[in-house]
Amino acid sequence: MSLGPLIVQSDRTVLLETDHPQAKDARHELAIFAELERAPEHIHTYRITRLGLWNARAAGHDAEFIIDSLKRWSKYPVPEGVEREIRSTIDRYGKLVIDRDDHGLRLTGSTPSILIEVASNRKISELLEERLENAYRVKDWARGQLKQELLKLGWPAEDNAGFTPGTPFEISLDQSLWHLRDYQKEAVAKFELGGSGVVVLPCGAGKTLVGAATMAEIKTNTLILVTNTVSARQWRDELLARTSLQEEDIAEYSGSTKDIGPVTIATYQILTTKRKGEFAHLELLNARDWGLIIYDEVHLLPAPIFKMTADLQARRRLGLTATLVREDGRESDVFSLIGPKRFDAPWKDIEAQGYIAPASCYEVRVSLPDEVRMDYAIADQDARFRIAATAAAKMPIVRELLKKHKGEPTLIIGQYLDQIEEVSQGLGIPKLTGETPVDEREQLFAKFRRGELTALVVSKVANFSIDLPEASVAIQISGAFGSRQEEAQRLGRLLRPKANGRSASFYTLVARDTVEQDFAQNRQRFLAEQGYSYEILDADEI
Amino acid sequence: MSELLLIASQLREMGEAELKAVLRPLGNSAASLGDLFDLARAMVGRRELERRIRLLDSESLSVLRSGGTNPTLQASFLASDTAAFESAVELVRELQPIRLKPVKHELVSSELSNYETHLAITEILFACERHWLEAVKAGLRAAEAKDLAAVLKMDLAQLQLRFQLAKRAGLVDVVENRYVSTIRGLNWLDADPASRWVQLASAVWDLPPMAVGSASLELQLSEQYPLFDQNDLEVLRFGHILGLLSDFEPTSLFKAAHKDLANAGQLVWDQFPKPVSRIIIQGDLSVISPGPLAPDVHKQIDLLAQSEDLGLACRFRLSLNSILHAMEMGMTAEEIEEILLSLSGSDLPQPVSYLLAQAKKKFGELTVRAGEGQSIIESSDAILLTQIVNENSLAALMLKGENDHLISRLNPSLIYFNLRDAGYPVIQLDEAGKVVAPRLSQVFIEPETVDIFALQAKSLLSAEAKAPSPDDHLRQLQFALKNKLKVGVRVDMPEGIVEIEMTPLGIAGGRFRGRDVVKEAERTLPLSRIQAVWLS
Repeated sequence: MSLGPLIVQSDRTVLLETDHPQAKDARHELAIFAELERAPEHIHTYRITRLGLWNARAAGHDAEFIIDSLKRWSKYPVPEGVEREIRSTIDRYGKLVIDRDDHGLRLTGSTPSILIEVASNRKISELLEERLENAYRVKDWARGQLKQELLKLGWPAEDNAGFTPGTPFEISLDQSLWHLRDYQKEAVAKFELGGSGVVVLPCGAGKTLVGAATMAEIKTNTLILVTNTVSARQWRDELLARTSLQEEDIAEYSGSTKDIGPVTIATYQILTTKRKGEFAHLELLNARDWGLIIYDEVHLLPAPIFKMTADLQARRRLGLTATLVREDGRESDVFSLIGPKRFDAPWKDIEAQGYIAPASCYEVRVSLPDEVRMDYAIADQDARFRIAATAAAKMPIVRELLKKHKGEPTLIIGQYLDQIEEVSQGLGIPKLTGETPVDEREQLFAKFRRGELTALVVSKVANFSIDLPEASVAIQISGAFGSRQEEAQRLGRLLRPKANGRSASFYTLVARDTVEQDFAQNRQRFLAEQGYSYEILDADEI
Repeated sequence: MSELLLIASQLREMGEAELKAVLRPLGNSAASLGDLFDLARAMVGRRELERRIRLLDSESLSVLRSGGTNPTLQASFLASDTAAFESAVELVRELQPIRLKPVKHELVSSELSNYETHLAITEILFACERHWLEAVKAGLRAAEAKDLAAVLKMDLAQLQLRFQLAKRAGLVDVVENRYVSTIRGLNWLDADPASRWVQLASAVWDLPPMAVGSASLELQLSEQYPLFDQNDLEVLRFGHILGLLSDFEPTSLFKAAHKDLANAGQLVWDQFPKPVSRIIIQGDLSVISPGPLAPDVHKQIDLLAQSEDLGLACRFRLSLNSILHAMEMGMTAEEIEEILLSLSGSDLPQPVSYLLAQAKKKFGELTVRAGEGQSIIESSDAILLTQIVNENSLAALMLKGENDHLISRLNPSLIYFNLRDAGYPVIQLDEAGKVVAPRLSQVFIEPETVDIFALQAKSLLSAEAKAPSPDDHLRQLQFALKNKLKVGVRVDMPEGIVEIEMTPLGIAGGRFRGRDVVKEAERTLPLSRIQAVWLS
């Protein structure tokens, strides 16, 4: 034990003092088996999870390595319970293996007792066929689901069944005008090593390029799943600009177009569209021999896609996100079906390297007039949030902020359509919501990018995947309760480095002394954990 | 003489202190004993007999089984100076060892066990001050235990065990159905780790006299006290969280405590990780200590921030209510700022300064005080009162609007804590309009100092010294009749006071009928003439 930079706690969290001279070395080892949870300025919090430990074991690190590492860098004794838990967790990995022989998939066990234990589970037995010598035959389609169920039982299977190479397709990066950044290269290398998994990078840090570079490494038919059509087109434009792919190589499979090509970009929505109770577009998944599937904004992956993904375990899968925070707690499904987290970088580290713009965040407290306060006071709990969030008292503040940032590309982001309509009408600024046709959306975004429009009022459709590089001011007038990822994604719209190097400003307008103020605190948690600090202002200070 | 009489006469010989020791194991039932004879009867009952037999070491047990006697058996009222009592011999042959119930908490004690226990009790004591912790049989109510356990990163069983330890050590007590910190508890917070540990360990150190080796204590006890019910042994129950046992094996701390409990505390110093006094205050209002907090710093931070995550490092969070709490305790916003500045050694983030300014503005905006048989909630902001009265989560407080204030039949403290938990910046005022500090309002409850067993011992001895009442005589005669025992009676006869040994035959119509053992004749004596009765 040294007076090192780590504090290992009994709940398996590990704190890293970032100012400590040995912090860099300790962080390097810690990242192998622990997951970064919070990265504010001085103390970063990692968590040793079962998934993380199995991940480390899969990468060839044993319990001794992990415990030695903790003891070497720890300031205080490592709690014995943590040490025991690490040993017993690691010990479970690899006791079951999914592999392939001439007849198909097998589940083999290191001891008959483990095999019997897992096979006696009803959900697992449904996925197995006949008993072999020290093994079971696995139903062809059940590889993903089997891994999911085994994980739930605490017996993670080592998946040695390999990946289908897919139909080869030549893709290369065209780096004549740009270069892949070091962290992007590292993310691609770590993904390749694991074969499937998730890359977490801040908004604006170039996740699409990580996808493109991965495609260029694997050179195979690729299916890219994105959140909406606008995002699909951004992907297409980016691939055309940064890779050797030509227009005819990239197909779009969405509500408006149903083309399939060597590189196909589809929306989650089209895949989950049902007709007569059946998913109508499932054939897309087997339309080609995909060697790689990319899931953009993997934190939003809808439940049916999880189910479909369970059948795609033979294909390489890359998940991309800025916020691996699922309010539905399905992180373990992401682990077992897409794969473990392969790469993660603290936002402030990327900012320090100059790859994302610095941002100042403000929470503006708006006092409500007495008549609105009285409405709020007598309303039931459900109505209170809406009264606070849509208060007309926010309008003058929006005007003041627009005046203050005159000429700067500004997004006004809201949750409620009637509020968006009012603001749009009141300020004479075009609005963009889910009801806006895709072509009109693209036109509005294009005008905004070109500087012909300096402000846009947008609904939650602009929360994700919308690339508006020049946007430097966001005014959040309302949001979805306490959603941490929404807050982060909205700030993320501003983080593309600006041509003139200026920093971004993110304002959240909050009705004073209401539940909105409490929700705002929760919304800010993810960003606070990434080192962003909010300044609190009174409306009259604007 | 019967066993009963032997025990009764043995009890008569005792002093107050000895008698108190005999009474203590009887618990609440000791209070209903009328005289030493009642006590003797209680002691020959199966439950009491079994309890005393189970306390015997292996040597005395084998003597008892053989019907013999030794000083331990005599002192335990299980034998006379010539032989063991028959009932005890019968029972010891029937009794089987009792198995230790499985425990619900971590059994491996580590270097950090004591630190974790001290941290948990510290937090429990502060929670008593900040919340209305309702007293329930299991200890802490599930919802409150869950919150505390999450902060302390412990499972519920571990937390409840530490709460029981705090209670056992007199650091927490119940007042008006609510847990509060006692003055002993608040003094404990100020003590150093060694004295804190000694206080806790002394409260549960109930090991019977025995030689202690390195094997499992459970095993050693089974060998030396084969029938002992180890489930009752507090040192086994709490030993692991005090670093005395690890997987039931005595630690070096246990061995030191076995030799000299008061000085063993010194060893605890080495088990405490080096504390830090520096804190980091972040813009999201969190306060972080990059190591265990020094107790004095912990006390300061706990006063003005809500703990969120305690362990080797700690995280607290400042909020409007946490700052208001510090202000209720008499601090000003400026003093709070000064403390935060000096502990962090750097400028305060803007949101913290904003919060302090807000707290200053809001302090006193909403108050609760006692009226005539009711609580009165007042504010100059009528809309705020309307909001409170419409708050679903506060419906149970039965608040009613009256003129410019709200009233409730419930007690002001309950109103205060519920409003606080609902996020309202309320403070409590006393009759003179002064702010009631939550800590001071608990009036430093000292654990019960009246020793009911000492009082009862005194009362039994004085009853013995007094002339017995006719009721006592009747009771003894009835007992002798039922158990076919001979009695001696002193009777005031026309010819003077006489003593007669009789075999009781019946009691009816205010008369006692029996056979005179000496004269071999039946006699009937008026009960009113009997002056004394003794069993012969």
